[in-house]
Amino acid sequence: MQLRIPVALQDENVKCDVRGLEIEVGQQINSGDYIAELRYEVLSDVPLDCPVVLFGDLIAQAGGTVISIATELTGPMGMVIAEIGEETGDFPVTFETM
Amino acid sequence: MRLLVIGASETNRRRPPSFGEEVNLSWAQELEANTAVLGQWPTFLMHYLDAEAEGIPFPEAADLTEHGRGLYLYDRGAIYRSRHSTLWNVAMPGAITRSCAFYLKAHMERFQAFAPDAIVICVGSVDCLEHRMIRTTADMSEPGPISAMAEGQTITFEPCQSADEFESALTSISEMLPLIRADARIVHLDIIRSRNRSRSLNAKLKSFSQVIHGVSAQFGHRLVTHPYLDEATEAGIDQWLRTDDGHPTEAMNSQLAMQILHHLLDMTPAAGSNTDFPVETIDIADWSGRSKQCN
Repeated sequence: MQLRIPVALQDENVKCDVRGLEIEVGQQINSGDYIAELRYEVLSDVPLDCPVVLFGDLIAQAGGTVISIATELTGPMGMVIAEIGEETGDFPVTFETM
Repeated sequence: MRLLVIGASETNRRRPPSFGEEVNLSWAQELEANTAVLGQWPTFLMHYLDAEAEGIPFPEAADLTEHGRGLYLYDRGAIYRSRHSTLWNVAMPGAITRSCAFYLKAHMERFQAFAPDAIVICVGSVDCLEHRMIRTTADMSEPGPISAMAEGQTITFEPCQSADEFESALTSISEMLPLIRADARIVHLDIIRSRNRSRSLNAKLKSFSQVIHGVSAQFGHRLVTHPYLDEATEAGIDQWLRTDDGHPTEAMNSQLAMQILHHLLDMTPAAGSNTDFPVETIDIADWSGRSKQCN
Protein backbone atom coordinates (compact mmCIF):
# COMPACT_ATOMS: atom_id res chain seq x y z
CA MET A 1 0.00 0.00 0.00
CA GLN A 2 1.09 3.51 -0.68
CA LEU A 3 1.63 5.84 2.22
CA ARG A 4 0.74 9.32 0.98
CA ILE A 5 0.97 12.78 2.48
CA PRO A 6 -2.64 13.44 3.50
CA VAL A 7 -4.59 16.20 1.82
CA ALA A 8 -5.03 18.44 4.87
CA LEU A 9 -5.62 21.83 3.21
CA GLN A 10 -7.96 22.98 0.52
CA ASP A 11 -5.31 25.10 -1.20
CA GLU A 12 -3.72 23.48 -4.21
CA ASN A 13 -0.31 25.09 -3.89
CA VAL A 14 1.04 23.57 -0.71
CA LYS A 15 4.54 22.42 0.15
CA CYS A 16 4.78 19.66 2.72
CA ASP A 17 7.84 18.58 4.69
CA VAL A 18 7.96 15.12 6.21
CA ARG A 19 10.10 15.17 9.32
CA GLY A 20 11.46 12.46 11.57
CA LEU A 21 10.15 9.60 9.50
CA GLU A 22 10.47 6.89 12.13
CA ILE A 23 10.16 3.83 9.95
CA GLU A 24 12.72 1.61 8.22
CA VAL A 25 12.53 -0.90 5.39
CA GLY A 26 11.57 -4.30 6.79
CA GLN A 27 9.99 -2.81 9.89
CA GLN A 28 6.58 -3.98 10.99
CA ILE A 29 4.15 -1.08 11.36
CA ASN A 30 1.21 -1.48 13.69
CA SER A 31 -2.00 0.48 13.84
CA GLY A 32 -1.55 3.47 16.11
CA ASP A 33 2.19 3.81 15.48
CA TYR A 34 3.65 7.29 15.09
CA ILE A 35 5.14 7.63 11.61
CA ALA A 36 6.29 11.22 11.12
CA GLU A 37 5.70 14.92 11.69
CA LEU A 38 4.22 16.88 8.79
CA ARG A 39 4.57 20.61 8.16
CA TYR A 40 2.38 22.14 5.45
CA GLU A 41 2.97 25.63 4.11
CA VAL A 42 0.64 27.35 1.67
CA LEU A 43 2.64 28.89 -1.16
CA SER A 44 1.33 32.10 -2.63
CA ASP A 45 2.33 34.47 -5.40
CA VAL A 46 0.95 37.30 -3.29
CA PRO A 47 2.97 38.09 -0.17
CA LEU A 48 1.11 36.98 2.93
CA ASP A 49 0.75 38.55 6.35
CA CYS A 50 2.15 35.37 7.86
CA PRO A 51 2.22 32.35 5.53
CA VAL A 52 -0.34 29.73 6.52
CA VAL A 53 1.35 26.72 8.07
CA LEU A 54 -0.04 23.57 9.57
CA PHE A 55 1.80 21.10 11.77
CA GLY A 56 0.60 17.64 12.75
CA ASP A 57 1.52 13.99 13.17
CA LEU A 58 1.02 11.06 10.85
CA ILE A 59 -0.36 8.03 12.71
CA ALA A 60 -0.78 4.54 11.17
CA GLN A 61 -4.30 3.15 11.05
CA ALA A 62 -3.31 -0.31 9.82
CA GLY A 63 -0.44 -2.76 10.02
CA GLY A 64 2.13 -3.92 7.49
CA THR A 65 5.78 -4.31 6.65
CA VAL A 66 7.67 -1.36 5.22
CA ILE A 67 8.78 -2.20 1.68
CA SER A 68 10.33 1.07 0.58
CA ILE A 69 10.75 4.66 1.64
CA ALA A 70 10.94 7.64 -0.71
CA THR A 71 14.20 9.55 -0.84
CA GLU A 72 12.42 12.87 -1.40
CA LEU A 73 10.48 13.91 1.67
CA THR A 74 9.37 17.36 0.59
CA GLY A 75 6.56 17.73 -1.91
CA PRO A 76 2.87 18.25 -2.58
CA MET A 77 -0.04 16.74 -0.73
CA GLY A 78 -0.77 13.24 -1.98
CA MET A 79 2.89 12.48 -2.66
CA VAL A 80 3.86 8.88 -1.88
CA ILE A 81 6.45 8.67 0.88
CA ALA A 82 6.54 4.91 1.51
CA GLU A 83 5.22 1.50 0.46
CA ILE A 84 3.83 -0.58 3.31
CA GLY A 85 2.48 -4.12 2.85
CA GLU A 86 1.84 -6.02 -0.40
CA GLU A 87 -1.76 -4.93 -0.86
CA THR A 88 -2.81 -2.31 -3.38
CA GLY A 89 -4.34 1.04 -2.54
CA ASP A 90 -3.47 3.67 0.02
CA PHE A 91 -2.11 2.81 3.42
CA PRO A 92 -4.60 4.22 5.97
CA VAL A 93 -3.27 6.98 8.21
CA THR A 94 -4.66 9.82 10.25
CA PHE A 95 -3.25 13.32 10.46
CA GLU A 96 -3.48 14.37 14.07
CA THR A 97 -3.00 17.83 15.53
CA MET A 98 -2.98 19.14 19.09
CA MET B 1 3.21 57.13 29.25
CA ARG B 2 5.47 56.41 26.31
CA LEU B 3 5.39 52.92 24.92
CA LEU B 4 7.59 51.21 22.37
CA VAL B 5 6.17 48.02 20.90
CA ILE B 6 8.24 45.52 18.96
CA GLY B 7 7.24 42.10 17.74
CA ALA B 8 5.23 40.42 15.01
CA SER B 9 1.69 40.40 13.62
CA GLU B 10 0.04 39.66 16.95
CA THR B 11 1.04 43.23 17.71
CA ASN B 12 0.86 45.07 14.37
CA ARG B 13 -0.58 43.72 11.14
CA ARG B 14 0.63 46.49 8.88
CA ARG B 15 2.77 44.84 6.24
CA PRO B 16 6.19 46.10 5.16
CA PRO B 17 6.50 48.35 2.10
CA SER B 18 8.22 45.75 -0.10
CA PHE B 19 4.92 43.93 -0.47
CA GLY B 20 3.92 46.74 -2.78
CA GLU B 21 1.40 49.53 -2.54
CA GLU B 22 -1.34 47.64 -4.35
CA VAL B 23 -1.06 44.56 -2.13
CA ASN B 24 -0.86 46.65 1.00
CA LEU B 25 -3.86 48.76 0.08
CA SER B 26 -5.81 45.58 -0.58
CA TRP B 27 -4.65 44.16 2.74
CA ALA B 28 -5.62 47.33 4.61
CA GLN B 29 -9.08 47.08 3.11
CA GLU B 30 -9.28 43.39 4.04
CA LEU B 31 -8.36 44.20 7.63
CA GLU B 32 -11.06 46.86 7.65
CA ALA B 33 -13.60 44.36 6.41
CA ASN B 34 -12.79 41.45 8.70
CA THR B 35 -11.66 43.21 11.88
CA ALA B 36 -13.97 45.05 14.23
CA VAL B 37 -11.28 46.67 16.37
CA LEU B 38 -8.27 47.62 14.30
CA GLY B 39 -4.75 47.69 15.66
CA GLN B 40 -4.59 44.55 17.82
CA TRP B 41 -3.89 44.94 21.56
CA PRO B 42 -2.04 48.29 21.30
CA THR B 43 -5.35 49.96 20.40
CA PHE B 44 -6.97 48.57 23.52
CA LEU B 45 -3.96 49.54 25.65
CA MET B 46 -3.91 53.16 24.49
CA HIS B 47 -7.57 53.54 25.42
CA TYR B 48 -7.12 51.71 28.72
CA LEU B 49 -4.31 54.08 29.65
CA ASP B 50 -6.53 57.05 28.83
CA ALA B 51 -9.42 55.60 30.84
CA GLU B 52 -7.17 54.77 33.79
CA ALA B 53 -5.71 58.29 33.85
CA GLU B 54 -9.12 59.91 33.68
CA GLY B 55 -10.89 57.54 36.04
CA ILE B 56 -13.51 56.58 33.52
CA PRO B 57 -14.71 53.05 32.65
CA PHE B 58 -12.55 50.99 30.34
CA PRO B 59 -13.99 50.92 26.83
CA GLU B 60 -15.51 47.73 25.48
CA ALA B 61 -14.58 46.39 22.06
CA ALA B 62 -17.78 47.89 20.68
CA ASP B 63 -16.62 51.33 21.81
CA LEU B 64 -13.43 51.04 19.79
CA THR B 65 -14.78 49.96 16.44
CA GLU B 66 -14.25 53.37 14.86
CA HIS B 67 -10.72 53.84 16.15
CA GLY B 68 -8.40 54.27 13.21
CA ARG B 69 -11.00 53.08 10.73
CA GLY B 70 -10.01 54.25 7.28
CA LEU B 71 -6.36 54.19 8.27
CA TYR B 72 -3.80 51.39 8.06
CA LEU B 73 -2.58 50.98 11.63
CA TYR B 74 0.21 51.18 12.83
CA ASP B 75 2.69 53.01 10.63
CA ARG B 76 6.19 52.19 11.88
CA GLY B 77 7.31 55.61 10.73
CA ALA B 78 4.95 57.43 13.07
CA ILE B 79 4.28 57.80 16.77
CA TYR B 80 0.64 57.73 17.82
CA ARG B 81 -0.43 60.02 20.62
CA SER B 82 -3.66 59.79 22.59
CA ARG B 83 -4.60 61.87 25.62
CA HIS B 84 -2.42 59.96 28.06
CA SER B 85 -0.28 57.62 26.02
CA THR B 86 2.25 57.93 23.25
CA LEU B 87 2.81 54.70 21.39
CA TRP B 88 5.36 53.76 18.77
CA ASN B 89 4.59 50.37 17.29
CA VAL B 90 7.42 49.06 15.14
CA ALA B 91 6.20 45.47 15.15
CA MET B 92 5.92 43.85 11.72
CA PRO B 93 4.06 40.79 10.41
CA GLY B 94 6.30 37.77 10.17
CA ALA B 95 8.94 39.31 12.43
CA ILE B 96 11.21 36.74 13.97
CA THR B 97 13.54 37.25 16.88
CA ARG B 98 16.69 37.94 14.88
CA SER B 99 14.96 40.54 12.74
CA CYS B 100 13.72 42.31 15.86
CA ALA B 101 17.27 42.36 17.23
CA PHE B 102 18.47 43.83 13.94
CA TYR B 103 15.73 46.46 13.99
CA LEU B 104 16.48 47.50 17.55
CA LYS B 105 20.14 47.93 16.79
CA ALA B 106 19.55 49.71 13.48
CA HIS B 107 17.20 52.30 15.00
CA MET B 108 18.75 52.50 18.46
CA GLU B 109 19.35 56.25 18.33
CA ARG B 110 15.76 56.93 17.30
CA PHE B 111 14.40 54.73 20.07
CA GLN B 112 16.72 56.49 22.52
CA ALA B 113 15.33 59.84 21.38
CA PHE B 114 11.81 58.54 21.97
CA ALA B 115 12.83 57.48 25.50
CA PRO B 116 9.95 55.09 26.18
CA ASP B 117 8.75 54.54 29.73
CA ALA B 118 7.97 50.95 28.81
CA ILE B 119 8.93 48.57 26.04
CA VAL B 120 6.66 45.67 25.15
CA ILE B 121 8.31 42.88 23.25
CA CYS B 122 6.63 39.90 21.63
CA VAL B 123 8.97 37.49 19.89
CA GLY B 124 9.39 33.75 19.46
CA SER B 125 5.97 32.61 18.30
CA VAL B 126 6.77 33.18 14.63
CA ASP B 127 10.16 31.51 14.98
CA CYS B 128 8.36 28.35 16.10
CA LEU B 129 6.43 28.32 12.82
CA GLU B 130 9.77 28.35 10.95
CA HIS B 131 9.14 31.41 8.82
CA ARG B 132 12.18 32.84 7.10
CA MET B 133 11.88 36.59 6.81
CA ILE B 134 13.12 38.43 3.76
CA ARG B 135 13.23 42.17 4.16
CA THR B 136 14.46 45.01 1.98
CA THR B 137 16.22 48.18 2.99
CA ALA B 138 12.91 50.01 2.53
CA ASP B 139 11.21 47.58 4.93
CA MET B 140 13.74 48.14 7.64
CA SER B 141 13.98 51.89 7.09
CA GLU B 142 10.41 53.00 7.71
CA PRO B 143 11.37 55.09 10.77
CA GLY B 144 14.31 56.56 8.85
CA PRO B 145 17.55 55.68 7.03
CA ILE B 146 19.81 53.06 8.57
CA SER B 147 23.50 52.51 8.09
CA ALA B 148 23.24 48.74 8.49
CA MET B 149 21.82 48.22 4.97
CA ALA B 150 22.82 49.62 1.62
CA GLU B 151 20.29 51.06 -0.81
CA GLY B 152 18.33 48.26 -2.45
CA GLN B 153 19.73 45.53 -0.24
CA THR B 154 17.80 42.48 0.92
CA ILE B 155 18.42 40.52 4.10
CA THR B 156 17.06 37.08 4.90
CA PHE B 157 16.54 36.42 8.59
CA GLU B 158 16.46 32.81 9.72
CA PRO B 159 14.16 31.73 12.54
CA CYS B 160 15.59 30.39 15.77
CA GLN B 161 15.32 26.62 15.39
CA SER B 162 15.99 25.60 18.95
CA ALA B 163 15.46 26.90 22.46
CA ASP B 164 19.21 27.45 22.74
CA GLU B 165 19.23 29.63 19.64
CA PHE B 166 16.20 31.51 20.89
CA GLU B 167 17.76 32.06 24.30
CA SER B 168 20.84 33.51 22.69
CA ALA B 169 18.83 35.87 20.48
CA LEU B 170 16.47 36.94 23.26
CA THR B 171 19.38 37.54 25.61
CA SER B 172 20.98 39.72 22.95
CA ILE B 173 17.80 41.78 22.72
CA SER B 174 17.49 42.00 26.49
CA GLU B 175 21.03 43.34 26.73
CA MET B 176 20.20 46.02 24.15
CA LEU B 177 16.98 47.28 25.75
CA PRO B 178 18.63 49.23 28.61
CA LEU B 179 20.55 51.17 25.98
CA ILE B 180 17.25 52.61 24.78
CA ARG B 181 16.45 53.83 28.24
CA ALA B 182 18.10 52.46 31.36
CA ASP B 183 15.00 52.56 33.56
CA ALA B 184 12.43 51.57 30.97
CA ARG B 185 10.08 48.88 32.15
CA ILE B 186 10.27 45.84 29.91
CA VAL B 187 7.25 43.62 29.38
CA HIS B 188 7.53 40.35 27.47
CA LEU B 189 4.54 38.60 26.00
CA ASP B 190 4.80 34.85 26.42
CA ILE B 191 4.61 32.59 23.37
CA ILE B 192 1.17 32.65 21.78
CA ARG B 193 0.49 29.05 20.91
CA SER B 194 -0.71 28.23 17.42
CA ARG B 195 -3.54 26.03 16.31
CA ASN B 196 -2.79 22.67 14.71
CA ARG B 197 0.35 21.68 16.52
CA SER B 198 2.33 18.52 16.04
CA ARG B 199 3.84 16.89 19.11
CA SER B 200 7.21 18.31 18.15
CA LEU B 201 5.87 21.85 17.62
CA ASN B 202 4.03 21.65 20.92
CA ALA B 203 7.26 20.76 22.70
CA LYS B 204 9.08 23.55 20.86
CA LEU B 205 6.49 26.15 21.86
CA LYS B 206 6.84 25.08 25.48
CA SER B 207 10.63 25.20 25.35
CA PHE B 208 10.57 28.71 23.81
CA SER B 209 8.10 29.79 26.49
CA GLN B 210 10.49 28.51 29.15
CA VAL B 211 13.23 30.63 27.58
CA ILE B 212 11.04 33.75 27.83
CA HIS B 213 10.28 32.94 31.47
CA GLY B 214 13.97 32.42 32.19
CA VAL B 215 15.30 35.48 30.37
CA SER B 216 12.63 37.82 31.75
CA ALA B 217 13.41 36.59 35.29
CA GLN B 218 17.15 36.97 34.69
CA PHE B 219 16.81 40.57 33.53
CA GLY B 220 14.05 41.60 35.92
CA HIS B 221 11.51 42.06 33.16
CA ARG B 222 7.75 41.66 33.47
CA LEU B 223 5.97 38.77 31.81
CA VAL B 224 2.47 38.45 30.39
CA THR B 225 1.37 34.83 30.24
CA HIS B 226 -1.70 33.35 28.57
CA PRO B 227 -3.06 30.60 30.86
CA TYR B 228 -6.58 31.02 29.47
CA LEU B 229 -5.25 30.21 26.01
CA ASP B 230 -2.88 27.45 27.05
CA GLU B 231 -5.64 25.69 28.99
CA ALA B 232 -8.33 26.20 26.35
CA THR B 233 -9.89 23.17 24.72
CA GLU B 234 -9.87 22.94 20.95
CA ALA B 235 -13.46 24.14 21.02
CA GLY B 236 -12.69 26.91 23.48
CA ILE B 237 -9.67 28.20 21.61
CA ASP B 238 -11.93 30.03 19.15
CA GLN B 239 -12.63 32.58 21.85
CA TRP B 240 -8.96 33.58 21.86
CA LEU B 241 -7.60 32.88 18.37
CA ARG B 242 -9.34 33.86 15.16
CA THR B 243 -10.65 30.97 13.10
CA ASP B 244 -9.52 32.52 9.80
CA ASP B 245 -5.88 33.27 10.46
CA GLY B 246 -5.04 32.26 14.02
CA HIS B 247 -4.30 35.77 15.28
CA PRO B 248 -5.65 36.94 18.66
CA THR B 249 -9.34 37.77 18.77
CA GLU B 250 -10.68 41.00 20.19
CA ALA B 251 -11.24 39.19 23.48
CA MET B 252 -7.60 38.16 23.63
CA ASN B 253 -6.36 41.57 22.51
CA SER B 254 -8.42 43.12 25.28
CA GLN B 255 -7.04 40.59 27.75
CA LEU B 256 -3.44 41.22 26.66
CA ALA B 257 -3.86 44.98 26.95
CA MET B 258 -5.33 44.69 30.42
CA GLN B 259 -2.50 42.43 31.55
CA ILE B 260 0.10 44.84 30.18
CA LEU B 261 -1.72 47.76 31.79
CA HIS B 262 -1.42 46.10 35.20
CA HIS B 263 2.34 45.94 34.73
CA LEU B 264 2.42 49.71 34.13
CA LEU B 265 0.05 51.03 36.79
CA ASP B 266 2.66 51.58 39.50
CA MET B 267 4.91 53.58 37.20
CA THR B 268 5.41 57.30 37.23
CA PRO B 269 6.04 58.25 33.62
CA ALA B 270 8.78 60.72 32.89
CA ALA B 271 7.60 64.28 32.59
CA GLY B 272 7.96 64.02 28.85
CA SER B 273 9.70 67.31 28.37
CA ASN B 274 11.33 65.92 25.27
CA THR B 275 8.74 65.77 22.53
CA ASP B 276 11.22 66.24 19.75
CA PHE B 277 10.49 62.79 18.43
CA PRO B 278 12.50 61.23 15.60
CA VAL B 279 9.44 60.50 13.47
CA GLU B 280 6.16 62.27 12.87
CA THR B 281 3.56 62.28 15.60
CA ILE B 282 -0.03 61.47 14.78
CA ASP B 283 -2.57 62.80 17.23
CA ILE B 284 -5.43 60.34 17.49
CA ALA B 285 -7.51 62.27 20.02
CA ASP B 286 -9.71 63.79 17.35
CA TRP B 287 -10.00 60.85 15.00
CA SER B 288 -13.51 60.45 13.84
CA GLY B 289 -14.72 57.77 11.51
CA ARG B 290 -13.41 57.45 8.02
CA SER B 291 -11.80 60.84 7.73
CA LYS B 292 -8.57 59.48 6.27
CA GLN B 293 -7.71 57.00 3.58
CA CYS B 294 -5.66 53.84 3.80
CA ASN B 295 -2.14 54.58 2.69
